[in-house]
Amino acid sequence: MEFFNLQDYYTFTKGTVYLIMGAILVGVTLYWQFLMGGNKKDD
Amino acid sequence: MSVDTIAAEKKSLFTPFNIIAGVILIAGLIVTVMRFTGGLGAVTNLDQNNPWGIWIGFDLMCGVALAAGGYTTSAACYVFGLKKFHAGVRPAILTAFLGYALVVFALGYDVGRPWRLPYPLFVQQGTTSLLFEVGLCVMLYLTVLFIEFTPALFEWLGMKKIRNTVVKLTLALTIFGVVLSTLHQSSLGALFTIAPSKLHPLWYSQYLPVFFFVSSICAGMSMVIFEGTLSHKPMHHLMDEEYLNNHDGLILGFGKAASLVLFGYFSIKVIGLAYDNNWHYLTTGYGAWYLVEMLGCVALPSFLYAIGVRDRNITVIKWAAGLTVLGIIVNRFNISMVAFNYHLPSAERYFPSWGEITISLFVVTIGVVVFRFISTRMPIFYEHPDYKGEH
Amino acid sequence: MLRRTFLGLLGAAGASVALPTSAKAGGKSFGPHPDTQAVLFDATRCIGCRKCELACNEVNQLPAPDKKFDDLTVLDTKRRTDEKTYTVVNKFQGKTSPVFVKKQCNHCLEPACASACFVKAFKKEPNGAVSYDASVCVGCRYCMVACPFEIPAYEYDEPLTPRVMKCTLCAPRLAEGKLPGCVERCPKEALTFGPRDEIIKIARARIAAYPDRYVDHVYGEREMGGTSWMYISGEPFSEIGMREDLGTASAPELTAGALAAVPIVVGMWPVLLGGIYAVSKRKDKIANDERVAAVKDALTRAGEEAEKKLHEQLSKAEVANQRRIEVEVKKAVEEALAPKEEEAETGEEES
Repeated sequence: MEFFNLQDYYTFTKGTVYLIMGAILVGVTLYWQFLMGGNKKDD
Repeated sequence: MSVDTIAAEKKSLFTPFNIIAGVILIAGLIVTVMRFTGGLGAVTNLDQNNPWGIWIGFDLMCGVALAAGGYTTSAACYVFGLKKFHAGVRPAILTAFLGYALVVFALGYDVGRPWRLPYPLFVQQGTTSLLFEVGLCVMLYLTVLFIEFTPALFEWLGMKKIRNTVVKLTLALTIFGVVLSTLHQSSLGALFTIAPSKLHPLWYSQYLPVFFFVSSICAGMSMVIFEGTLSHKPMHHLMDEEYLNNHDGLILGFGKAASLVLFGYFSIKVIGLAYDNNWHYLTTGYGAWYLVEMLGCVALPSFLYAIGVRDRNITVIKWAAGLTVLGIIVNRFNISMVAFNYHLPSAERYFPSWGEITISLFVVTIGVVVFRFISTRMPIFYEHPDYKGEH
Repeated sequence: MLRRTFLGLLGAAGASVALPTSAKAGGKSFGPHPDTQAVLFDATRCIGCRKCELACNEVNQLPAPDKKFDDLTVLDTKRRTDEKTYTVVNKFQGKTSPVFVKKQCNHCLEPACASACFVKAFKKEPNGAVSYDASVCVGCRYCMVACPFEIPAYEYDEPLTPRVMKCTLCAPRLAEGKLPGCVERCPKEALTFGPRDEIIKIARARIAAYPDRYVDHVYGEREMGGTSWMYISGEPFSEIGMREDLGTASAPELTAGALAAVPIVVGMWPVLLGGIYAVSKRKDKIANDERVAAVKDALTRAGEEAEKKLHEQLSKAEVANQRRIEVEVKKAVEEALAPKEEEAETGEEES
């Protein structure tokens, strides 16, 4: 897709980034729970 | 700790505070009607050169900066594990929640079509805009704050199960809150990076987002101390052992942190001067005012905090807190109204109107009244007997 | 200690993402759209007749002004665009004679208003116009803050339907193949309309043909990233009310740094804060374990001490007991023997 100014380019890329940000927040929450699960034995 | 609401109701409604608050509330309602029947022009001194006034400079920018106590206190307690801050979390969260709610309320006066405030989120997203960033994060953070406030509400209503479920979310909400706060505190500063030709060089910097974020940490901690001081006498009968025992420790802790962060903030502001080679502006009129802000309201409180912490002098720390809060207000005012449009002749500069001042006072008064209502009825300054010891 | 580490990391993170980016976008550069039109304003041709203002008012059906358009006394004060006026002509003192400059939206290639607007109400159209969509505008007026040329105006006296007002480049007329109203009406051809690169060529040609008449600069060619409304003048631009200190960086470039930092915070803060939490929890746990171990240790030791003492006491007691028993036995034996001795004595006496 062709962009004729920086403004339109940024509108597109920043839009994608916002969606990814939402996914990251959900993802890191789930990943944290995965990481902290497991046997609760001392080192 | 029992709540003496019955005793409070027996007292006369016409206390000096209530009378003043009442007058402000009535005046606010009158101006509200004028605003929505006559437009912004009927009530404000905004014009084509000065589109933003104190509703943005004070209600939005100072409101958000001073409500930063919510994320700093809950981070100190739940992320850094510093238990002595625990009793201070609920008052800070309540303040922050009310602060942000009132920011949105005040925006309802400032924007031309307040019913369209959800548009950037739900209709068309201006993703290149830092205001989009601010709006999104403020909306999300207001939700987070509300959820963080609900355990006190549920305890008051006796809804044990849902209260316990929400409390389990504390860590996640705290971290999410710090993320969102970092974003919108910094983005409020970043708003002005778009207009280098309109902001005086001493205040304009590409580091504005970092400046705003770091100063919000100082603002938050200082507000917690400042408010803790203001509410200590009137709310004393509600404060439980944990709160009273940890009160001084919290003040010392935040005092130490604030001193260091203010030092850091001062340092990066100096870096900003060097980066843009703006030293020669310091000898101008604006330069003198800049030095007042930096030396009197950043360097001085940092030093006072340090002295107070070293000597364990709570009074000095409280003065430092007040001075820091003043400094934050001065800084936000400078960036949005004093150093903004510095290039225009004085006849074209902005000064708030009575209508704007009334609404700003109105908004603050609502905040204080609601805070008082909630904290005298719900477990904010004390732990509900059914949940004692449960963190 | 943890607090300081956090703040140190924060500073590093903040500094690394808050540095200004002067590059366009990772080395990419854009546009403008090949169909972008532009207008050239020649300040040496304008006579300040204000017919362009009249045309604009008619074409856009704007309300009648306080003073009519043939009243040239308004030129004695500096005016700016307002909610009823998309364009104004101002008078300036030139070297030999007055100079007149028309001011309106410059239809920037990288509009600051579009960059600032959080509902995408502004758009740079392919034909060069920067359009405004009043149907989504919330009225935040950030566009007015952002515009370096101080153009957008607001309908502050409208209580319920206030709009941002600015020149539209007569987009409806352009769609019909007509010229913008002001361009068509100008009696002195101070305004020339055409494709942007053509307009720049015309401007350069005029300057080259009359080097003593013009300042050698096409204002708007690169200012704020370039505009669709450009100016050539006989007087220095700073003396005809046009700022020469705006620079060539566009609004999107100015805010790029701050915007770029946002997703990094979202990606990194949960990791950092989660880490601090985990370390803090671990420290607490270790401290707690150490405390428990210390208590256990102390208890054991106390227990051992108590046992030792007890043992000592017991054996002492036993010894004491033994001796007492011995004493008692001795006494008993003596007592038992004593009467026998007495009997033996009395027995001896009797016999």
